[in-house]
Amino acid sequence: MGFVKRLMEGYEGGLRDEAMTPMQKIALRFVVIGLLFYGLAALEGMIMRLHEVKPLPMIDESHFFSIMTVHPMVGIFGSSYMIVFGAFLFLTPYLMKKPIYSVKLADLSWKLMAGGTFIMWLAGFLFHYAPLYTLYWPLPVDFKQFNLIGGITYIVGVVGIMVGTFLFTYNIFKTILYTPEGWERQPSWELLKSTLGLEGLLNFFRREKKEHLVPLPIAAIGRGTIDMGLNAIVISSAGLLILIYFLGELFGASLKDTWVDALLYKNIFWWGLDLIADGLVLIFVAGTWYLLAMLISGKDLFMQNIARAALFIEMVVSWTVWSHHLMSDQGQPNILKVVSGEMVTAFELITQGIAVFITLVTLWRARPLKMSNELKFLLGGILGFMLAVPAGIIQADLGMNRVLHNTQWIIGTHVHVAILVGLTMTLYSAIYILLPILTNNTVKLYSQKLANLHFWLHLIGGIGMGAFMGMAGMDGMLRRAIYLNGEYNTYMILAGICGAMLLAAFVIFLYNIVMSFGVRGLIAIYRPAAVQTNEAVLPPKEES
Amino acid sequence: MADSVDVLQTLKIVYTIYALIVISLIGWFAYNIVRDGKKEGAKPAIFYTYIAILVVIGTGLHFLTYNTVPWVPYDLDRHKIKPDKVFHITYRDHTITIEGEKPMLIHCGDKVVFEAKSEDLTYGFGIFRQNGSMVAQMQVVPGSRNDLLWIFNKNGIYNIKSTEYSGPKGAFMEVRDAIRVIGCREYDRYSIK
Amino acid sequence: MIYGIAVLILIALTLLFYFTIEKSVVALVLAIVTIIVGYFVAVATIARESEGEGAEGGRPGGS
Repeated sequence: MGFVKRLMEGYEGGLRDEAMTPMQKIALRFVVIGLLFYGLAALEGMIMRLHEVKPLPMIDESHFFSIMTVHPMVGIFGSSYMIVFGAFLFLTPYLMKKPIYSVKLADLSWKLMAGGTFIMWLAGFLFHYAPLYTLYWPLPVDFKQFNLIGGITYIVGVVGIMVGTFLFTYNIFKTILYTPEGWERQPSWELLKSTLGLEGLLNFFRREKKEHLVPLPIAAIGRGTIDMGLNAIVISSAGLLILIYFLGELFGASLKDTWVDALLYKNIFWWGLDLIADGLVLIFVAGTWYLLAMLISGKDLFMQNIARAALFIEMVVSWTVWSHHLMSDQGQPNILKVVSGEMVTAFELITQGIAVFITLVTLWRARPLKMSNELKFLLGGILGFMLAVPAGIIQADLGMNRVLHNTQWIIGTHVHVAILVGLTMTLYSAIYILLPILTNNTVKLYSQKLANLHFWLHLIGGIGMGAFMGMAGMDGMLRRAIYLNGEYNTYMILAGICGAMLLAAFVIFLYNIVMSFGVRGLIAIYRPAAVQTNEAVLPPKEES
Repeated sequence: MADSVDVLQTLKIVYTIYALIVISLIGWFAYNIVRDGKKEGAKPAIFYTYIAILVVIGTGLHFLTYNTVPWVPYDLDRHKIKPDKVFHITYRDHTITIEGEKPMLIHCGDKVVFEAKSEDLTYGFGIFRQNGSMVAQMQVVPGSRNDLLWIFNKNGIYNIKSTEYSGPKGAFMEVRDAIRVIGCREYDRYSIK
Repeated sequence: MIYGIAVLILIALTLLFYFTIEKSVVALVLAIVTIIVGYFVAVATIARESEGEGAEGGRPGGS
């Protein structure tokens, strides 16, 4: 078969979509767009890296920092959120063995998320709006530095992302709790209590324990979705605040930025923002590991009740740890720095440690296992968090934070290793295991050699980049700064080589996926499904 | 007395050893998971010992640094400590202005307080050696008291940089040779000009 | 629908916190508790509206 024909038709005929349900298609729409945004974020990362090694002539400070502003937003909302949304909107009805509440809302969610991310990216690309994702007050409304239209465009994009997020949260909870038409009445309150962990909490005090109504991964999805909703409330309120100042400026009524206390704003904003990093990411990842471990091993999860309890503790802990982001703020009260910043944050080592332990033991009990793509990426993901979480605990310390805050250590050793190695490799594992389920087993992987190459380049590139950034940070290199005189070039060149490995890994993966699905198959994902149903997959008897 | 060079050097060694151990552990796991062998799960005693180790490491780190990193106790108690000298630094329009003498002259072992005030945006106050390594930093938040109490035990000349992003205009906020420490027996070898 | 309104109220309330709270740990913690409790109430409205759906004797299903 010629290259062009295979590219168009895919490996062994590529994707056949005739029997695909709307939810299978929507999940894949989320994933494909999420992967493309990942590529964009990786490209932005490489541009910034190259600029740190040797300043690029076409990039000035305002351009550099506008890339830095959109880079994490594209990475988190455009990529990670999109892939997670797709997976969970499919898995929730699939695991609950009931139809999704609304296919239309699910479809609208990906359009809003993708459109919102793109508009927000345009604000940086066209107007160089660059307050960074931290939006420290009153920088987002500093009209001496930023264009008003750029700011409004940015907020419009964020609104799209937030509305998409709220639709997702509603659809997830509604699917768990509702009674489909013609079904026996579902115990909505009992389901809610089980999902959020309240039943488990009550069981702790009961002599006769009640059984859990929802499977463990649903408990993880529900609890992570609580953090997602809380986070969206805070980001939306900050967006609204900024918009009020924009509109004031637009209509000639400049509002005083001192009406808002900068430290108080920073507390509320970080409380909300941290619910992503220290909340939903850790909860979703733990839940995904448990699901993957069960699917890969074909066995029940080891110490399932402990795992449930740990997910509940993780949710509560995530509401109380924000102060580790404010340990260098001298106006922040000591009690918050010590209790929230140091002590409660240390609990994350325990809850994530429990997830690592339970996942590895569950797999171990099923040995010998085949080293499949899902298993190797799962182990990579676990390794990523084993490296990144202790790095986070170290920087959440009053002694260490004084010399690490805002350095490359934070963003390299902790953040990028957590996201690129920990989270992304977990998502790749989920993609590999969901691929046959989402495509009714019609897609065969084009090349296992390319999949292996993707794995090794991503793993080594991700850990290596984090390590060299961390070393630069320990030598004083700041994270939100430009260095024009090659001050940290040795580290930056090495980190750049690792970054190039990450980018190459992604290109290889994308190529492998395109060749597997075929261009025709990828386009088919975006065509309406021939089958009209709210079920996640068709029952076996109805499959043709 | 330990300074940031000693603390970060220790971190570099400890974290590198830790990273190599966990990479090896996952490598060992991956090697053995595809081979047949004992399949039993972990005994409860192993699980709870593991949890106890995590608790000890997670909380013990903070007790360890409180007792070994010199700046932690006096940072927490700084409002009770009477400083030998106070320096006022003002941030406005992406400019750092040292009010009073420049360079800020500090005698060895003196308790000095850097009081930084921002009149517009959020900035950072960072003290850096001549080789670019960091001595200490804090955030400079408008409307808040931003005070850093510090004791220098080595002679040297230090630069000040903003360690927080304050927009593209603040990309290069720096005051070179802003601090001069004298009177110590020892010299900071990375801060000699 | 009610969930959407509850979420909008919480967003407005958080916006109000930005303007009204100053240098008070207690007020900050209370604001955070309010947002958390408020969001649980918002999610509970989904359970409440789902409670009345379906009928006895329908197709058994669920997990």
